[in-house]
Amino acid sequence: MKRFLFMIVLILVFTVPASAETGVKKRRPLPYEYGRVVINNYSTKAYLAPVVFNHWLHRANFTCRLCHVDLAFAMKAGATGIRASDNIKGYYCGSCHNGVMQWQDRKVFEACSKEYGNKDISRCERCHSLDKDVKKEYDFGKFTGKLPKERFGNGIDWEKAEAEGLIKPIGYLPGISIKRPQLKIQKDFSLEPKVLGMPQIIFSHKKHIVWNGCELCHPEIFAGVKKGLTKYSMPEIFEGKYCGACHGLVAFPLLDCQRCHTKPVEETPGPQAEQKGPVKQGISGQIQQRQSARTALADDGGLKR
Amino acid sequence: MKTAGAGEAASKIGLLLLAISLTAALLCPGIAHPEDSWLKEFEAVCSQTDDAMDMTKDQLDQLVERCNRLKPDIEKQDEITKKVYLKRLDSCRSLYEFILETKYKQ
Repeated sequence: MKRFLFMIVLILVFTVPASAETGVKKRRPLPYEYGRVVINNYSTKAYLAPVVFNHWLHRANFTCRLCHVDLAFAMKAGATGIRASDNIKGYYCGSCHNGVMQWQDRKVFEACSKEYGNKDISRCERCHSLDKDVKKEYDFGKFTGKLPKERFGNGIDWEKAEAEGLIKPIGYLPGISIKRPQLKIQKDFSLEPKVLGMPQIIFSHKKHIVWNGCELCHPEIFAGVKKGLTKYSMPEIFEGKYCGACHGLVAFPLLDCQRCHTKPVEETPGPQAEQKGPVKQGISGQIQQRQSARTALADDGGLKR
Repeated sequence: MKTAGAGEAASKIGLLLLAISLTAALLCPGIAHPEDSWLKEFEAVCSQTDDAMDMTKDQLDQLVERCNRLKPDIEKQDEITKKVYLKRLDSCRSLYEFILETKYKQ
């Protein structure tokens, strides 16, 4: 009996933590899934599958500003509350998906109508496609085949693709967008990371305004009016604040540290001033740096163990 | 005598053209549509966001004020027009206010 109870306890000891660790881990999206938005405000109520919106196809052709400023799409999934009637009137998706607009060599298909019959189903299912085996007009592999590659996100370096003229996102839709003068580029600036030894962040206004303009980020995402006053933290960014409003969802993910933390750390005079050469970067560099700083402080009597 | 007759004919043609243009203005709502004035004002106000950084405090103040005056006109539109244009107006108004605040704090 004792042996039996011992066996049960042993099984529980090993299986409970193991089962607790599984099932909660979030799967990293595949390149074609990255930036995907599922919209289900009213779809299932209308007996349709939720809409699957692929950012990769739209971002290759249109700027963020066009959709999120001129067409007034919210920055959070589902927050716009798009209705079929809105599309029919030529708002939101209906601004382009109206069966009239010409895009490259084809007409942009019309969005769903409020009432639909069997013959319209295949058209509706081009967007209302969650868990449906719908053949898409554009294949991710074919579409992105010639674009420069990156490690994370969609696996595409969108910035480079635009710089090389492989994609030409438009930022003006006649009848909807406002004609604006060419935007003057604001200066780049650096942000000091809190972690010692971590390369500085060089924020490029140039890179961001090409796609966003000013009003997409200010003041909704970045409300601080004085440089250095707002303290940005990585946990907040991972939660979707600040840079995390785009990076991690549509723009390259936060795993790609070196794309923001680009400026090498400069040597600063201090307790370890005798250390010559560039300061070691990365986690191991930071650990070494902290250890040497501690030793130096302890030698000075500044840090007691 | 001949010139007086020509002048009379010209004035008759002028009157006829005036009558035609007035009738056209009344019958065709697309021409000088009074309800579209809010849209023109919206475009005029919100087309300056890209220049906002170079504007003076007074200019920015005026733009914020124009946005405030425009809001009630947009609120009179149908539900979806109101929803879309109020969001668009809010984003440009907020930007002007943000830059204005930045300039005051500098």
